[in-house]
Parts: sequence; structure tokens; C-alpha cells
Amino acid sequence: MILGQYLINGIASGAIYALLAVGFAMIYNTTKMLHIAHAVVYTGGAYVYYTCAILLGMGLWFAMPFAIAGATLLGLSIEVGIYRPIRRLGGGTNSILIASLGTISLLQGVYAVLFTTDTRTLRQGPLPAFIVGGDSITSLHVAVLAVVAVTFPLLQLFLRRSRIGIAIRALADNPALAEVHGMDTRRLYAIIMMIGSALAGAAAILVSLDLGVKPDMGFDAVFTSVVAVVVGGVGYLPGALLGAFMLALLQQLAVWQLNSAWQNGVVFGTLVIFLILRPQGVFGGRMASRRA
Amino acid sequence: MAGAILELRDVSRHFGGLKAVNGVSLSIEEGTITSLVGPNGAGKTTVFNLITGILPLSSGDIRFDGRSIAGLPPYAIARRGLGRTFQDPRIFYEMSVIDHVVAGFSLRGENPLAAILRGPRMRHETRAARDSALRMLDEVGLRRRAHEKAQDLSFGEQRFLSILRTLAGDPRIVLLDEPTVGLDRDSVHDLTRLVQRMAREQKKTVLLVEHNLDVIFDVSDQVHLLVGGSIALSGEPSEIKRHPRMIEAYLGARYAALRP
Amino acid sequence: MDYFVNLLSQVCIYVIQVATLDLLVGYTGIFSFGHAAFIGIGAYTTALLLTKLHLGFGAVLLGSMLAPMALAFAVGLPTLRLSGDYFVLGTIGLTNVTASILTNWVAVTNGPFGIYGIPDISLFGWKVVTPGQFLAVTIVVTAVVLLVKHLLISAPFGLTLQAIREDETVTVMMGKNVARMRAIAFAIAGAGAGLSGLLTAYNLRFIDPTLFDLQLVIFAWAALFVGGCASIVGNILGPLILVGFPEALRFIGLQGGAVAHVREILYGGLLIVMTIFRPQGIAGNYRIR
Repeated sequence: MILGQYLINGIASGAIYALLAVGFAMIYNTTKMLHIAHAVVYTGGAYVYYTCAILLGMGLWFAMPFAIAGATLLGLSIEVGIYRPIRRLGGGTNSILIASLGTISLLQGVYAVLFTTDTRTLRQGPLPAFIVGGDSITSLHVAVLAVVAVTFPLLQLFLRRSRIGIAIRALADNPALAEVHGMDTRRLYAIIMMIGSALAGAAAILVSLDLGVKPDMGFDAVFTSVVAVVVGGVGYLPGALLGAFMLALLQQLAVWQLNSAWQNGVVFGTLVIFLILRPQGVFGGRMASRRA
Repeated sequence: MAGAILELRDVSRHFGGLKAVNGVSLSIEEGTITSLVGPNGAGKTTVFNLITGILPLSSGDIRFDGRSIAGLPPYAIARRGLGRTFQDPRIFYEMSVIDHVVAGFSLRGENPLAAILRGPRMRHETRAARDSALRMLDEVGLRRRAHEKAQDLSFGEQRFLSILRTLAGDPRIVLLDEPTVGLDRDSVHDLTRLVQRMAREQKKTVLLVEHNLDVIFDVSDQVHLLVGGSIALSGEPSEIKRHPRMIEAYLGARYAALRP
Repeated sequence: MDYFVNLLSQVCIYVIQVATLDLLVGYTGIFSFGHAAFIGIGAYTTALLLTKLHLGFGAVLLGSMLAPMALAFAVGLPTLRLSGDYFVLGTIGLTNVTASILTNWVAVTNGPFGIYGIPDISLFGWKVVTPGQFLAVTIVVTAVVLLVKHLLISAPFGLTLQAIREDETVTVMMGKNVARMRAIAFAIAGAGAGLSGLLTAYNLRFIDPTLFDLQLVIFAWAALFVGGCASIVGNILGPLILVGFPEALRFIGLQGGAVAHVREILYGGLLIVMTIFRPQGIAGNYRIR
């Protein structure tokens, strides 16, 4: 059944958006930075993966931890090399937003110079897949869901039980108080960036196996994820998950009924509707109470 | 009550279960100076926010010149002649001192078309506004700093500037939120005289939230004590100065009990 | 020499884009990342009115400003009420979606193939044919835009915008209709952006959707930042430097397709460096916090 295929695709891409959305949401909730450069951290992870797996010959499996490490390092470098100096010299979140915009341009240009704008693929041929009632569930679909199903409970556990996780949530709730309580906000910011970037790296691996790598792949994906955060409700992490799947399914609906060109429009339309009618998102408002 | 320029009728404001303001009724005569006093958290600034339309009323009505202003957008209420300052001077850091005051006027030149076409009336009006601004600055001793950036002023000077900015709009009622905070004794004296001039010479109505009891008793025609969101006591300064409830509110019940 | 003349025309067009963005960012505190959408609408309106409806310069002039203004009002009124970050998101989305519509609404916009054959400017029988003549027209238009901007900001209108930038709540308490003023500023900036789109269409004789995407927004912001906010001198310096620098590099031998990407790196890098070390830009009167 054709509908089933769209459903499967929707759930899989929803999982990708979820990885990006949760990473972005963590960073935004705690640091209030609109780190749109998340898009090029994601892309950077994909290029590290490509470089390690293909150019350096490590192969698809061995290259994976390097890809995640690469994305993590890139995110950390942006925080330490760009955002931190801005803060130190008196800049606020607006300045950081502009620097983030500049970072997108800078790194996309670097990727284009190093790798050209051609799409770099990591594998050839069709993926191994189950056929269920006429629909194909590929190994990648399964992998994506498996990654999400494993990382999120782990993340929640980390945020609730570990000392650092609790500190992160405290920071999201009340930054001034957190600082007074002697938490090293600089270190926390760095850790948060690393976690968010690692999640982006994981997403990058999965997507590049499916679609390859190109310099501007990050922007649409991250923009959709940010809309997912708005839809789910800023300040409520599980909401970002919901938003991600909802948007992905909506996109598949658009592809099915209209044509694939409308994918962007659907995301923007959803953003507009929520911004006008319910800016606090589905789970926003009093219920959210700013959980990381 | 006849002649009342501002009336609060059983005004309440709830935040969830908390009643920040609970059934407050007052009536303010034009040209008078009224003070709202009370311990911290009593709801005084909330009352200001309700009058100026920043917060919606949970119940009750507010009337300005006999007409209800409840539910109007804040800028519309301000346009009717209600000016307000904040506890923090909240000046425009990057603007010059004189620009603050000029910005407060309501001018033809605010219309983009008028700004581009610059007819004689617009130019005349703008120049007159600048002259008025300089005169106003002169009255508080800030004329020589007219072209400096507001962020370079001292805290006290910024406080006066924020009041001038409000006065530029020629409001009929001025709401001053803790104007003496952070001022030294001489400045407090200057501020008191400014407030008196506003009421006596310019026939403005002044509503003050204040903690400085000396200022209040010196300057007010009427004083209302707000405790826990309700008015506990009202009257002229001489009447309530020594009232046990007043002392209790500020110094606690033990002291109130001490007084005969 | 023609090349240099064309370059100057391009710089003037960028100056209009930066100056109008500055009206929003530097004076009103509106962080718009949607400028490319208004420029693109202006350009496409121009191209369509000329090639499909064969209208004259006057109609095109009007259309290129009215269409973005209408969009600005339509989009601005709901989104300007939103708090900062949400508004930013909305404007980024606006740029994205406009680029998307321009690319996909093939029936009207000819999709990714763009619109060809934009004729020369024809004004009262005079035809603007050579690059030099076009430069003359462009300089005049730019000067008019800068003059209008100067008149606006030096009038009480400009003071009110700055008050809104500094402290919105206080400005409301002063009796100003802040929501309306911001919408008006947004619309005026949109009209100016549309005008730069008109000039772009006439200049290049051919437009396609890739000209009006986020890269253009990033360029405008970089030029605004390098030159400095709230300063007409800054609005002129920014584009001069951002166009001049890569041209100088080309001069010393940097060739080929890499040039476009080197520009991306340059603009992004400049934006980063300026925000860290000199957020007021070279000649700015306002520093973004």
C-alpha cells in the first residue's frame, strides 16, 4: 500500500529530525542561544564521516565514531572559539545569532572548497530491506529508529540522574540562580554543545548513508528541526520529538498529495500557523515549566 | 465621585490562585498628589500595571475622566493623557539626552510622509519641540548635557531624564513608580519640588508609589496604604501618619503595639 | 572598463539593500533575515511586468515597490508581534519559502530556469543602453533612497524608531503605537528592497531564484555589520569593502569556481570577526548587543 511507504518514510525522517531537534532544543533551552550553525555542525559530521569512511578507507562502520567525534569537536570549537569570546566581550544572544549566521556561510564555503558542491555518496545500490505488504522497510529505516529509541531514554536518564544532567536542567530553569550556586556555566555550556553536536553527528551518519553529503544539506534539515521544537513547545524536550515526527509525516503527506517541492512550504506553513495561533507549541505554556 | 480624574472600582488581579490586587477602589481628584504606600509585594506596581493597561484586569473597572479604560491597549491609554515612569529609569542608552525629551512629544514628524515631505508646519513644530526640550532640561539642570548619550549620565540624572521624557507627552496624570530610589538627599529634594511644581503649577495629577515616608508625608494630599493587595488605610498624611496600621505595615506589629 | 562600471552599479544596488536593512536592524531593532524575499519579489515583479505584460518603466517602478510592501504588511503584522527569536525564525522561513515558491511555481516564475530577456530601461523615449548610462541611473536611485532614509531618521519618525529599538515598553508608555510603527518601518524597508530588486533585474537582464536566497541575506548582514549600523556612511562602506576585497583577490590571481565559495568564507568570516571584536562596525553609531 502506497500510504504505508509514505508512513514508513515519514517515521524514519521524523527520527532524523528528532535527533537534530532535541540537540538544538537542549542548547536553546539552557543557553538561550539560537545556534543556527547547528546546520553546519551536522554537515561537518557528514563530511568527517565521508572522509574517514571513503577517503581514508576506514569503511562505513569504523568511521562512525570518528564522525560523531568530529561533529562534537566542531560544535565545541564554535562554542569556545566564537560564542565564548563574544560573551566575554559583552555581546549578547543577538550578537551570537549573527555570528552563528556567519559561521554557516563560512563553513559551507569551506566544505564547498574542500569537497566541491557535488554530492558525495557513501554507498552504491539498494539497501537490504524487508518487504511488508508491498512496502519496503530498509535497514536504514530500522537503524534510524533504533538509534532514536536508544539515545532518548539514555538522554533522559542522563538529564534526570547524573549530576551534570541535573545541573543542565537547573541552568535551563534559572540561569542566574545556577550561577550563584557555583555551577561552572562555561563548562556546562561546553558540555551541552558537545551533546547536541554529537546527536547531530549521529543524524549526519544516517542521512549521508541514505542521501550522500553536500555542503548545504544542513540548513533545511535543521530549520525543519527548529520548527519541530516550536511545534512541540520550547522548553519541553519530549515535545521536540513529537514535533519532529509530526512535521516529517506532514511532509510525506505533501509529497504524496502535492509534489515534493512543497516540503519546505509545509514546514514554513506549520511554523506560521503555530507562531500565530499557538506560539508556545503543543506542550508549551504552564506545563512545560522550562525543562531541559 | 464628581471631579475625580481617575477612579478604580473594585479592581482585582489574580495570578492563578494568588490575588495580587484584591478589590481596590480609589478615587483621585485632578491636580492632587496621591501616594500609594505599603510593604514590598503589596501590589503597588501591579496597580500601576493595571492602570496603564500592561496587565489586564481580572475584575473591576478603571475610569479615566469618567470613561472606562479597562481593556484598552497600553499605548491608547497613554495617549489619553496618562504617563508613567518605572522603578528603573529605563532610559534609551544609545540616544542623546535631548532626543529623549523630543521623542516624548507627539509630533507631526512621526508620520513617515511628513518626515519625507518636511512641510513648513512640520519643521516649525519640530524646532519648537527641540526648544521646549531644552527649556525642560534647563529646569532640572541638564541643559549643558543635552547632546551627551544618556548612558553617560549619573543614575540620578537618568531618573530625572525619564521623568522629563514622560512629561514631554503633556500627560494629565503622571504615575511615578518609586522615583526617589537611588537618589541622594539633594536630588530627593529636587524631585519633591519637581513633583510639587507638576501638581501646583502645571495642574497635573500625580500618583506616586513610594517608600520614602518623609517625601510622602511632605508632598501628598492623600495617602493610601496597600497591604496584601487591598487598601488597608486611606487619608491625609496628618491623619494616618501615626496610625497604628501604618506603623505596623512598616515596622511590624510589635512597634504598633508600643504606640499609645 | 565595462566590468568595473558594472561592478560599481552592483555596489550601489547592495548599498540600497544594506541601507534598507539598516533601517530595520540599526534603527528599529527588527532583526530581519527575510530581506532576500523582498528583494526577490521586487526583482520578479519587475521581470514579469516587463516580459509578460510589457508595461512601462513607471508601472514597473511602482510594482517593484508595492508588491514587497504588500508582502511586508501581510507577513509583518502577525510576525512583528512575536518575541525576538520567534520573529527571527519566521523571517528565515520567509526567505526559504519565497525562494522555494520562486523555484517551484514554474507556471508564473519559470522555475529554476529564471526569466530571460529583461529589456533596457526606457524612460520617456530615452533608452538606458550602456553600462555607463545604467550606472548613472543607479547612482541617482541610490542617492534618492539614501536621502529618503536620512529624512526619515532625522525626523521625529526616526527618534520614535530608535526609542522602540531601545525599550519597547517605555515607548508604548509614551503613547506611541509601537506595533504600527514597526509595521510601517518593515513596509518601507521592504519597498526599498524591492527597488533594489528592480535594479538587479535591469542590471543582469536575467534573474533566477538562486539570486534571492539566504546567501543574499548573509551578504547584506555582513555588509551591514562591517560598515556599521545606524550610519549612512557605514551603509556605503560595507558593500564597497565586501565587493572590493574579493575583486582585489581576483586581481592577484584567485580564479575559477572557487571564487564564489571563497566569497562565502570571506563574508562569513568577516561577520564572525566583526561580532566578536568590533560589533559597531567601522563607522556604526549603534552596537548590537
